[in-house]
Amino acid sequence: MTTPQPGMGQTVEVGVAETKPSRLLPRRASKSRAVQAIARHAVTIAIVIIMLYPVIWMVDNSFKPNAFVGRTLLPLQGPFTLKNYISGLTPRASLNIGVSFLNSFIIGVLSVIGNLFACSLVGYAFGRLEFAGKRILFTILIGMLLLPYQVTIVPQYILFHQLGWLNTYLPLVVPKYLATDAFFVYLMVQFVRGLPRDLDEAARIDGCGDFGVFWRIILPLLSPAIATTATFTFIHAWNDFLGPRLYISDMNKYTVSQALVQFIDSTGQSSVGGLFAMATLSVIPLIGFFLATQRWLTEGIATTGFK
Amino acid sequence: MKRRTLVTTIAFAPLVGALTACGSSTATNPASAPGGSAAPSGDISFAFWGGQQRVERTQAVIDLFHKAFPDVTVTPTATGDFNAYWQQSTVQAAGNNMASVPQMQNRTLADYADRGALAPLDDLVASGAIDVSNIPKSVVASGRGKDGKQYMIPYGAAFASLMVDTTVIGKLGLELPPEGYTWEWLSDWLGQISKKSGAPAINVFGGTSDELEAWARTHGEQLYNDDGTVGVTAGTVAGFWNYMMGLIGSGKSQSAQAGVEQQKLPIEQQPISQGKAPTMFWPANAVATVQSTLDTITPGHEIQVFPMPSESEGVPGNALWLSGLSISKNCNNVPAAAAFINFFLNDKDGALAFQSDNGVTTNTVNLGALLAASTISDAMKKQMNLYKTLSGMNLPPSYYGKAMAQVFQQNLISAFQSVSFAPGTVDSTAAQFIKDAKQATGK
Repeated sequence: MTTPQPGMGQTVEVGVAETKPSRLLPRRASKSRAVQAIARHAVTIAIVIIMLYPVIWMVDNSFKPNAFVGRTLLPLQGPFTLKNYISGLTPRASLNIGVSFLNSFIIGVLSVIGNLFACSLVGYAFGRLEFAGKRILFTILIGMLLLPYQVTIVPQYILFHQLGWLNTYLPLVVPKYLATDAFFVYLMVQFVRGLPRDLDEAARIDGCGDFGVFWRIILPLLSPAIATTATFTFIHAWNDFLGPRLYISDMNKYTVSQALVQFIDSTGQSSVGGLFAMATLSVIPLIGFFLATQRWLTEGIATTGFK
Repeated sequence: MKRRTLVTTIAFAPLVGALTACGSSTATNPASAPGGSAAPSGDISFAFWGGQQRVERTQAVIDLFHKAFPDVTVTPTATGDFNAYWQQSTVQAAGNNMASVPQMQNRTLADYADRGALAPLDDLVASGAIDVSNIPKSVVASGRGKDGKQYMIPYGAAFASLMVDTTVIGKLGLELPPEGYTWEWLSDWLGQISKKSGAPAINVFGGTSDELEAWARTHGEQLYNDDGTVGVTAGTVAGFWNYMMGLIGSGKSQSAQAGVEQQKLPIEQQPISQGKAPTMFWPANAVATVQSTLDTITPGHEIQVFPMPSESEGVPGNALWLSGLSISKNCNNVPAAAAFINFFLNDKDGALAFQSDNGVTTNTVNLGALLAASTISDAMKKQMNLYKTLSGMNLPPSYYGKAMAQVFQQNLISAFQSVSFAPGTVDSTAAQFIKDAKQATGK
């Protein structure tokens, strides 16, 4: 420590006893990046295992005889059998799960096409265009989101019965082409409203009309909303039970959800192992579809149309 | 734009056509009037509940019917889930589009008969188009509606039972339930089992209408009165729950938590089927399933079925739950529907093919044939013999009113669960449960 000498024009430092700030948390044992990475991954993997445990349990029990289903909590314990898969996939007079898979796939694909077609157009109309009654119609759209299905189920059934559509896939698919899924319409509307209008104006200057703007400008930029709509429409159509239960009575036209229910009989004999086996298989198309559209979703978010 | 519209229309037209073509024609050919001499012809639809085994056995009966009546085509539609079947039936009834022959149950008949969704069958029975001469009159009477008309012909009888692993009880050195055992005897017996085995002896049944019904019947009441009003009182419900809570508290039964976990398990995963509990209240028609599951897990154990506990006079609290066939009001081929019902009820080969898959056959002649058949398992025969015993006991008739499923199967579960985790609320919860029941039934 130096003693300051006034007038000499030098700045001197007056030493001050150093006081270290007190730590709220103890110092980390290691600052190694590798250890931190391992710790992060270990925690993440543990959380994933916990969240996936029901699926793991289902897959594990799908390889057990019926009598041994549910006897153990940990996987890979107890007897192993492929009988559940073999018997579930074997076509029978009472059930043909392969046909059910195909039926659900057809309904799912058609539902996706319908929703994308109708919801994108309606979303563009509400998000960009001005027309008479727009506010009232949009309010009705929001109101549809609030309606519980119990309110509409009987009138819809009567309508389809009068149209002669019962025991066909029409009640499950045609409404998708009429933008009845208000949630996805609302999703599209909000997404369209978030797109800058500069591109629209540029397109109009180049001679595009309303549909031209939609087809050339809006639709390419809607890819995240399109991916979301496609994914969740397919998942919902694949898992839907009430709709097919009401409208499909021919067992050859049963969907996967209807077919899976046939494995359980609370008034008789159930095949829980078979149910788990077929449920495991029924999840695979959903995972595949989700992975495919997830890539599309990510690419859509990464690009905005501006350079 | 016009060209695009045309292209779009052309693209979608085959789609709509294909989807429409997926539908089969539901038109039926009206046959001659009931009682006419012409053989029935045309199409009818038959809706029922059940899993794969039920579907296969029902199809076997339908195939036999087609041979006997080649001009009639029966299109079956099955729902594995029992509750989903009623949900679907309710919507179909509201849309006046029930199946030609919908399967019914006496416990839910009022919801459809009282609302005019079913056609009376009295004329068909009187003319002999549907022969009920081999079905006990008291059983046939259970298919009547509030107005006294016949809306359902019962073909299968299910009933509650006490399932007992007699091998385990024998190893514990205890006696089996005697004829006419009471609820008090049961509690003491379960206590001996749990004391000797060190484990709970029975399942939690406080939220199950089957056992509440047996309790009510052994205490002078029924779930419903004969006029469709709620018959059980809050005091009886409270007494039943106090009995159950006593079993839980003393360790004679599973815990309340275990009861919730096991509520929705299929019978194959219930503790008695897994060899983890020696007794259980469960409908007797599952005895074959329990036995076959137990034979795989722990061979050498025998399951026996006993009636429900009795009142002091020795009459068990059992009620018969009857599954039967009806004709919907919107059916436009009644002769074919009647012919199918008559065949299902009375054809012996059909009964042997169906094997009493949905309750013991109510046709006494066919019951004798099934008991003598080598294709019927010993476990199934135990159920059939118990039914013979019960049907010979002159059980008081059981009545059911509206909203049976909602009140005594759904609300009862949630009401008991709230009691089982808050025991001090038994009386108030029972009072509220009965109040809600009366509101739901409108009486």
